Amino acid sequence: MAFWLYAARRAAHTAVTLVLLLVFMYVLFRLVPGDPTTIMLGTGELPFEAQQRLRELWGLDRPQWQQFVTYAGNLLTGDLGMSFYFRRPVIEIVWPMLLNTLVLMTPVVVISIVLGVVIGTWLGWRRGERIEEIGAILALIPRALPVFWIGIVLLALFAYELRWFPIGGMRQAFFFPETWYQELPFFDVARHLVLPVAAGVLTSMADPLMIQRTALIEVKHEDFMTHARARGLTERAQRRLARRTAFLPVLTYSAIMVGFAFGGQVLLEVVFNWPGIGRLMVNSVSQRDYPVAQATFFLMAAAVVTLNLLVDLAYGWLDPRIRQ
Amino acid sequence: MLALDDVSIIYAARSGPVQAVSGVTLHLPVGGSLGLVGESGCGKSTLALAALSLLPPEARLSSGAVRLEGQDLATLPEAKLRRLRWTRMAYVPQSAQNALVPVHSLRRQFRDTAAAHGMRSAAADERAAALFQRVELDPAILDRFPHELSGGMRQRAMIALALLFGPSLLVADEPTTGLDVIVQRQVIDLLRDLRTEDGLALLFISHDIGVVAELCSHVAVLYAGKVMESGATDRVFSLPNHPYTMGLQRAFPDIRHPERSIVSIAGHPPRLSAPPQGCPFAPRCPFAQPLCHNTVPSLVAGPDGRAVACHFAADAEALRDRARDPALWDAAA
Amino acid sequence: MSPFASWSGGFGAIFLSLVVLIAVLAPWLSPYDPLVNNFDAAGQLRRLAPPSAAHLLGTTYYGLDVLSQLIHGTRIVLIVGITCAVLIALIGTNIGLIAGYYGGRVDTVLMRATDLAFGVPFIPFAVVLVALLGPSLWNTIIAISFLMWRSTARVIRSQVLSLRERGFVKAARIAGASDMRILYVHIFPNVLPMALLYVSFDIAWAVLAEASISFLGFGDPHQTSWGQMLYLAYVSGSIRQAWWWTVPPGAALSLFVIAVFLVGREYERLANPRLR
Repeated sequence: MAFWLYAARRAAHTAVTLVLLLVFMYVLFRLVPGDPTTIMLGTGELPFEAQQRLRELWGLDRPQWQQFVTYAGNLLTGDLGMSFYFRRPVIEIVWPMLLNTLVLMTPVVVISIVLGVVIGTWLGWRRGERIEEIGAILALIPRALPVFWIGIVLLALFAYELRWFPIGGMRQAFFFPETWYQELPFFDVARHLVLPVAAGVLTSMADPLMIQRTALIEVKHEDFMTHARARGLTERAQRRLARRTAFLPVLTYSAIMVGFAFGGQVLLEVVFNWPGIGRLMVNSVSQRDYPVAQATFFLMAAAVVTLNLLVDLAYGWLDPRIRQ
Repeated sequence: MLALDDVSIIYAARSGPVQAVSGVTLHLPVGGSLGLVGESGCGKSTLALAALSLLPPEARLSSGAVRLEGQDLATLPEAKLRRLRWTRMAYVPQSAQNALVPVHSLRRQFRDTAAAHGMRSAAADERAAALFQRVELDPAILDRFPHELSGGMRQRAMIALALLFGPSLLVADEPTTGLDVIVQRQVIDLLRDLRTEDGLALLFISHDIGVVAELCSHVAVLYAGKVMESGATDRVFSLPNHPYTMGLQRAFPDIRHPERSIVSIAGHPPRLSAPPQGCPFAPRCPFAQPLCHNTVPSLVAGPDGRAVACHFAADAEALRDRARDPALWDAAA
Repeated sequence: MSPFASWSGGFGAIFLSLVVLIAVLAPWLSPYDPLVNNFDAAGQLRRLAPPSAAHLLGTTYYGLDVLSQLIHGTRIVLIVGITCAVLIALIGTNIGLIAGYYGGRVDTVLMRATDLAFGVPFIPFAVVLVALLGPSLWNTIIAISFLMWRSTARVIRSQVLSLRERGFVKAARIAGASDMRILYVHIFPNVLPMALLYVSFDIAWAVLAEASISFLGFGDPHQTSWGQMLYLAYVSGSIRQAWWWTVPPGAALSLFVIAVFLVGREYERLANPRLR
């Protein structure tokens, strides 16, 4: 019961953030010099009357708040407008790209958190030993590496030099399987995933790792850990207990991490030519295709906000103390 | 049952080594009860952890031995020690609030403990329900989380958890601290029942000599990591031989003598990183002589099973008389 | 504290001093003008020349000297790092101070704004803003600082919340000190160590962010930054052979960020001994 109340409160909080986000975007994209009539029609000067008619048609003569309500309503119902560049509804362009993005991003986030938690627990548990001392400093290094540079290095080494992996993209145009395993349905995509996922995991694993390690060190000094030892729990059971409790800060962080992951995602997609919304966004911004840019931006922001909500809910589930 | 032989414990602190416990010898017979009293920081809790061989990594047994049923715990391999814990000796820590795992239900904590010693979940559930009844808790509470319970319920659940395997030794470290008076009473009654009915040996740690007097047949008074005085509880508290015990006794209200005013012993316990040269209590002792400041008195056993570490133990009679004056204690420091 | 740990802090400090020194002396240290194309004796553009005595780190696809570009890149790193850190510290610390101190509705509004800032994906936002405002170093700095204050604000606020209840603040209030005075004379010095720690890490994040924006092609075209070097190497299709063009800026960037982390870590340990 308490959990549902908590969940409802968090959901309401998220709804407010989402509305504020829409206001923010509305203002941001109004920063574009001129209004949509001049942007859409490019450099060609339109007769004043025609421009006026378009304004009325698009509702640009109405008060700002009315325009905002229409704008927000459209975005929320998936009416993302027409692409200037592709001359097609934005939703048709964005939707498949969003799926592609998830195909790349999900393994990056999941593997980063799992590896980070496992290694962080291991380091924290060995606190004070030489290996932990060195490990903690080594863990700083991948966090400092620019993900796009790692991507370039991996490409140069494993795609161009050694030719183990494709040089980018998501699928090969004409891929002819030679052996049985190459015929597996996702083999081609998986092959293309290896390098971008490796680059992504390498750079985003460090934060959950460090947080897990710090939390674990704190947890180790808690009374309940001494008590667990007194109860004769095996070392493995003790470590599992510490990991379980220390995981909570990592969970909080993972919401923020997903936000960062979208940033890293944009860079990864550009380096590896991955046909996702990150690359689409960069291209549309360069091409001044604002409806597409706006839609991709909105989707990423909405995803971050929604994932924040999910993480909050998971936290409430895992830590019963929070619900009150 | 439990024997501590000349135990010394050193903590490796940032500022240098701290001698938390020096040369403590204690003996707890099967089914017996021993109280450890003293102010906070006197080494009581460290001794409790040492008795369970649970010292934190920064602390080490620098000399002496802890023996449980004749076995030296320090020589046992970790795996053997682990199996000994909770089956032979259990522990009720200072704060049940922090000692219970916050993210697990009580049932889960019973089951995990059971699993560590090869008991199945079903058996653990059955045993937990029975133990909850023993400590007068509703077995339905087993599915609650620690933070959902009151302090008294938590402490009783903690005791129930300690009884899971019917241990022969229970170490209780200030189990009543932070509880209100009525709940304190319940917990003390429960511990006394366990002692008399189940024949549990009890090592009870408290700063409250009243509670110790009620629960324990024997007592050791600790100061600055050393035993100042030890013996049968009624003898030690009715006729204290050490000035510190005298002061401690006057620091708590006594129902038999409500007219006595309560004193506080002026000053603070010495810093253990730089212990004084002579008797550790000398700086606060109202009867201290030059000898006390220079020479450490050794713990001398008396004829009635008592031991005292005071140069002037022979004059205890006269000191007890002088100690009755409350003004004496305030003036000392 | 082990010698290995303090050695690492020292390494960081030495590396950072070196970067500052190079940035100051860049025009005298760099062998060529970083934005002028180099030609060989025959009048041919020196395209993708491998490292040689003339060009210690080789040349780019456009015939520019990599070493000179690398040296001039330190200036962007310092400008971006320091300016962003100062802006972020100003915004974040003040929002945290005010939200934590006044509480109530002020706190709610400011924390909602912080939640919002956390909801905006950082790199995409910076790209959109820079593209809308036009690529320039200043717009990059503004875009970075516009969102990055969020974590500083949260941390400072939670510190202020606990400081607010402390005796010395209550005493100042009873003595009739104004809110401004309590905030900036009594509370601020106590959050300063934490604020400085965040500033140090913000330098690293800001530099990485600038590099990312430049790598995506939205950097200032009139400046030479490490991120931009990587962008040009990538778009000119040179990453396959010209390791001398891709390794130095990436390695320099990574080393700089690691150095900042190490120094920050050392500072954290000195300021907060509980951690070690």
